[in-house]
Amino acid sequence: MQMLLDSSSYLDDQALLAQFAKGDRDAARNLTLHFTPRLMRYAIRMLSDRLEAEDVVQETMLRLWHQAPLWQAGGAKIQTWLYQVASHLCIDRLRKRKRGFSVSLNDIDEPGDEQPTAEAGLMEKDRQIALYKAIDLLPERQRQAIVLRHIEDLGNGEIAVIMGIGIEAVESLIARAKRNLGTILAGRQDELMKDEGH
Amino acid sequence: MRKANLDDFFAQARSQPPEVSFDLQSRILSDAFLMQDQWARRAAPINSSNLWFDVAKHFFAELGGAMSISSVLAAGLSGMWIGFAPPAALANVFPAFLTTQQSDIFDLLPSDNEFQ
Repeated sequence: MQMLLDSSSYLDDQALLAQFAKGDRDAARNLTLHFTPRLMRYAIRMLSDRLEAEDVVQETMLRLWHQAPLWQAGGAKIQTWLYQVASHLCIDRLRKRKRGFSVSLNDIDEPGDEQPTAEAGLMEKDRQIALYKAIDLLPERQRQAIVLRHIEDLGNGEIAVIMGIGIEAVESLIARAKRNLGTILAGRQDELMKDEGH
Repeated sequence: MRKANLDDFFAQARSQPPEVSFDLQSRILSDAFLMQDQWARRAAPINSSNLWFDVAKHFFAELGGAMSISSVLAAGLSGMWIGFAPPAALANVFPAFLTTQQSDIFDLLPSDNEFQ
């Protein structure tokens, strides 16, 4: 992957944003490097469409750039704010379209070199596709909660802020989403376990 | 499906962050740099010896620059020219709009004396 920037050192997010607002180009590069991959993963899982996800990520970062000079130090966490904006943009798009199944092999990243064998890599890819297709079938809010919790690895408190609901509601959404995912994936379990036992 | 299996699925999904294309990074950085340039222009110090010139320069820049100002001027001058010396083709059009036509006068709050 071509990288424009060096990821070796990160300053505190808020300090970086303050530097960005003062015109520091490196701060812009570091913020982009830091937040873009996570936002991209989230938007892809929400929308199942790479091009739409890219538009959402660009728009989200653009709003951050606009907001930078007004950002209150010690206020909201930048990451939470970004997920909030991306969530709104994703949900807007989901509501505007009637979507069919659009997960494709192109949306799943190629396994890295650390994969033991090509066969194992394909099996993992199958599992990923199965999971993503199952997530795609979940209702919008359940999908949002499960992706934020189990793929973005955020805490329930932060998810509650992002979704604008209480922590109990988040827990309930996640529990229901996991139950639904279990049911959906159970249909494919034999097939996947057979591959695993191979 | 067992919980452990589901957790394996999630762990696998977390371990492979998506590739962010060079094009997307470039677009995001281009937006960022554009914004920084705009702030820099707005924050440029005003030289007190040419105060009026600098204020006018900032004012025109905010209005959209020379192209925008010249367009507004051209539209204004065209309007004045049409107003003072309308082309013959328009001579029959304007009077229809401009002449006052006699109209009936309605009393919106008629007196109820007639019913008394």
